[in-house]
Amino acid sequence: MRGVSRGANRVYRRLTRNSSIVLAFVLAFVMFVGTSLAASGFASGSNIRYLLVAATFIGVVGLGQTFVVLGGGVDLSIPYTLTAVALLTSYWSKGQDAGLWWMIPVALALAALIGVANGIGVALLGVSPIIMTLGMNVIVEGGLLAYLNGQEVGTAPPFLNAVTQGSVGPVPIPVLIWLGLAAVATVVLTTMTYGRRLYAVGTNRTVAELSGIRSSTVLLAPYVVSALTAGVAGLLLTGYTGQAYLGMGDPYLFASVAAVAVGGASLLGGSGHYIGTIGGALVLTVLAGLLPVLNVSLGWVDIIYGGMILITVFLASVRKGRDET
Amino acid sequence: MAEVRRVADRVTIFRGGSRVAVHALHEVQDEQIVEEMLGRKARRLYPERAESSERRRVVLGVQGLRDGRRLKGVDFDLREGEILGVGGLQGQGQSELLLTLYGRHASHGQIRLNGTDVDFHSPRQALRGDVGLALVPEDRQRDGLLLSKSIKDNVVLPVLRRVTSGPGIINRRDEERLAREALAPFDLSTSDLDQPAASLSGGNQQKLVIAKVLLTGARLLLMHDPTRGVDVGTKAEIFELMRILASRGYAILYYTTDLQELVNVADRVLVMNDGVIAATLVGDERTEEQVLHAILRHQHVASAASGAGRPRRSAGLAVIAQLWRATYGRSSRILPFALLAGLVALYAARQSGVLTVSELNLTMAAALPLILVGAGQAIAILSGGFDLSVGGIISLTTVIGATQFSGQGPGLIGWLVAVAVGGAVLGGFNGVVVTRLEMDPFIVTLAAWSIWGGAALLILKTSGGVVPHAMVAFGNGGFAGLQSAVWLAIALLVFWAWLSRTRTGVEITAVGSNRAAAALAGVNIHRRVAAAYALSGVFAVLAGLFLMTQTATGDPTAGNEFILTSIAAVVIGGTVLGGGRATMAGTVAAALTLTVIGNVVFTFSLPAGWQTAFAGALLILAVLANTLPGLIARRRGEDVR
Repeated sequence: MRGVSRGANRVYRRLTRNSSIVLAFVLAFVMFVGTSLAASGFASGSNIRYLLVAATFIGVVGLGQTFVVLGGGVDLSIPYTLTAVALLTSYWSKGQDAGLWWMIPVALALAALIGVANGIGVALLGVSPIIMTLGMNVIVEGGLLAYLNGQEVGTAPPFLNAVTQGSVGPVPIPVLIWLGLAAVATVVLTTMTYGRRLYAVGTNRTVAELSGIRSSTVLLAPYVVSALTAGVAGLLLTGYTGQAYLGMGDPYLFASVAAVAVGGASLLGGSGHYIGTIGGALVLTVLAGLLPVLNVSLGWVDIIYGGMILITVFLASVRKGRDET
Repeated sequence: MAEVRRVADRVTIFRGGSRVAVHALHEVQDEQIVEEMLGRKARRLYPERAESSERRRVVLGVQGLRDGRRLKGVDFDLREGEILGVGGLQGQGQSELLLTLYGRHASHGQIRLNGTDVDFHSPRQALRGDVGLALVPEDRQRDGLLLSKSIKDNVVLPVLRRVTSGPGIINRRDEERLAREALAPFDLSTSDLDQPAASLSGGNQQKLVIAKVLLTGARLLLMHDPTRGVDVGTKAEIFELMRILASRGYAILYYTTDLQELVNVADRVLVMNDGVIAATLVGDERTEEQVLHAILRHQHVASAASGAGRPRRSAGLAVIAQLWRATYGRSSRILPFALLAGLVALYAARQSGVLTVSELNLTMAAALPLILVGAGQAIAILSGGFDLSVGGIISLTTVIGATQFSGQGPGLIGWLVAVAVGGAVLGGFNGVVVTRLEMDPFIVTLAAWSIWGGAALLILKTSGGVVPHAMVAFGNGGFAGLQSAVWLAIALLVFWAWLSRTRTGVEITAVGSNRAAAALAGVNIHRRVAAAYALSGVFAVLAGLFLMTQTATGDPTAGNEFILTSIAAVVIGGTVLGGGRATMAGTVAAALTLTVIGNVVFTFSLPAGWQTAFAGALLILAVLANTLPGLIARRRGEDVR
């Protein structure tokens, strides 16, 4: 009996401590149910699958962003890292499958290099993450423009189409990939020493260093993770929509930050969970999914992203202020 | 306690949040006060000292230790089982000594651990050596604990490797057991190790720090004020613990600013003065008076010998850092102009007709939107923040202009005034949120960028609309041979010269350079920060308006490219990120530079992308030029932390 109540107690405590994560999922669910009642067809299997795939893109870039934010930084180079991987792959492959076995790894390796450069700038050379990644975004954009020489649209190779548009049972393959990545991220953050060190460095870099942690290595890795997840999202997006084009990554700058913020992570670093970001991605997707139903312009998506960032961060600071007094 | 007696007449004693007693000080003994503070009979504050440790093995031998600044040749030995006190006036190099030994700062000189030379480059190496070295830092809240993390997380942080299995997976049961073992000797009156460290009292936080340090297995402890700000009972416990550790063969280097505790706890006392050991006090010499005498004697000798000069050895890195500061530090003001001149020269060499008034007109017209956003950005940065929302505001301005503005004359002027006021309101909103709600400027302005950019998309999905003819005519017209863009740039510089002399300008600078000091000096922080962001909003609107006169269209994404480039123009122009100093002429020069790069790239017939890439690279280089010397200095220990 005591064991049961202690276990229940622990679950209760976890829930209250992560109330913003719970809130994100509840919010996504309530909005989903509400919209379904208002609009027939919103809760149809095909629409649910569509929404989940749309959430996958945000969720995958949000994974890297979560790591970066936990370390106290931010990655604003996601848009063009995503675009670069997508466009290079489609440009090299010319919409054919031949040679994809080397093109995808090479494109992802280039993304990783972008991440390494960001990480070196931020973690070793002390450049502000905003400046470093915003600058890198522009550098990649410029480099890409120069390399492609006007070829601003590419066609997805059939292999990518097949993978991203297929499904296992009722579950779309991109969603499965997302779930796999989410499992890995959650394990790394909650059970591994690297996760613990990342939280420590994000909370207080001095304390972490005085505790014998190599903060520069710890802070470098998230930028590589973020570049890689942005690249994966780029490939998924290319396959799903059938094409890659300049600017395809632009929405994911706000989307990734908003998903992390809505998921309850502190944008100042050191606290939050990837599970929260998943909730955040679902909230943003359902919100964006509402729009066609309400029949309004796409501009609302950006307004909603910005509003969500502002509101959740404000609520978090209010809650923190209340806890401290 | 002694301090209370020196200063106060009466003493009020609080325990557990309620008043226990009030005494006139001359009527009570210290013992009684301590008893009432604790609510029980106090143990003796200072434990018995061990017998002389003279013949014990030397664990740490330090010779000629210098850090290039504070430490000027420190020599001493620390023996097994010894508590070696370090004292002296504050700021004589004591904390640098501890941090240097701990590998936090680079140093020259000899450090021998158990007879082997060591040269630690990080605390990590110090902790992991054969004889582990560990630090109890000066400020437990700032440097010792992750306050928001659990007690357990804090204790095991340095020894995560000991509770992991396989590929770095933490074994929760091992972790819990290890944490409990480490905390057992400290009767931390809590069984819930999942509480945040912040929930503990000061004394218990200090015990937590010590438990964490002991768990590392280090046998040589560097303790910096381990009893600062803890209650008397915990003090006695800490001193007793130090003594027990010493009797088990630990070696402790103990720096405290409290002279009384120093002379009563330490086996030997090193008196530090001006970066060297001025005296070593043993036996009966260990008194507060002797410490002070030693300091005075040394100051006397040092001032007599001051002609000898300060020994200082520079490593290669230091020379580079110095050269850098000497050259770049001075030239950062002229750097943007030199850059611009160089580029223009290169451009002129490749193309004829560059150094003409018409080319100046063309370039200025192309650069003016960036110059204007940059001006606003410079003011936002000057105030200590920055502004990503300018992108959204520019986009919104162009689409409103292209869809709503009509005709000419009074109607158009009304619209222009209205959007300028709108810019001030949107910008001011950022400022109010940033200061009143104390939110990070990055987050606030990123959100605002998204919102206003989205609003622009609501008005126009793609570029289009019609720009009033009068505006296009104004933007491309001119006066006395110079186009309006040139005149507007001149007007901007005049405006800036005026603003930086007004109270608003001076106070914005003050807020950016030192917020706390500005507040103490009576500056209305909220109002000044709001004003800075409002100005940034107005300048973004002006930039959008001028952009319309050039493109003759409204574009809902027009502003996005200006976010990075405006920050780049400001930083390359020589304004410091973080606030407190801005240069408008530099910003203008840098904005022109970023524009001319495009022309030069064109003459090399490089693809258009290179211009964008150059801007990004130049920004990062400019920031590096500002941060690197500081980084090198920090690595060399010229910063206390």
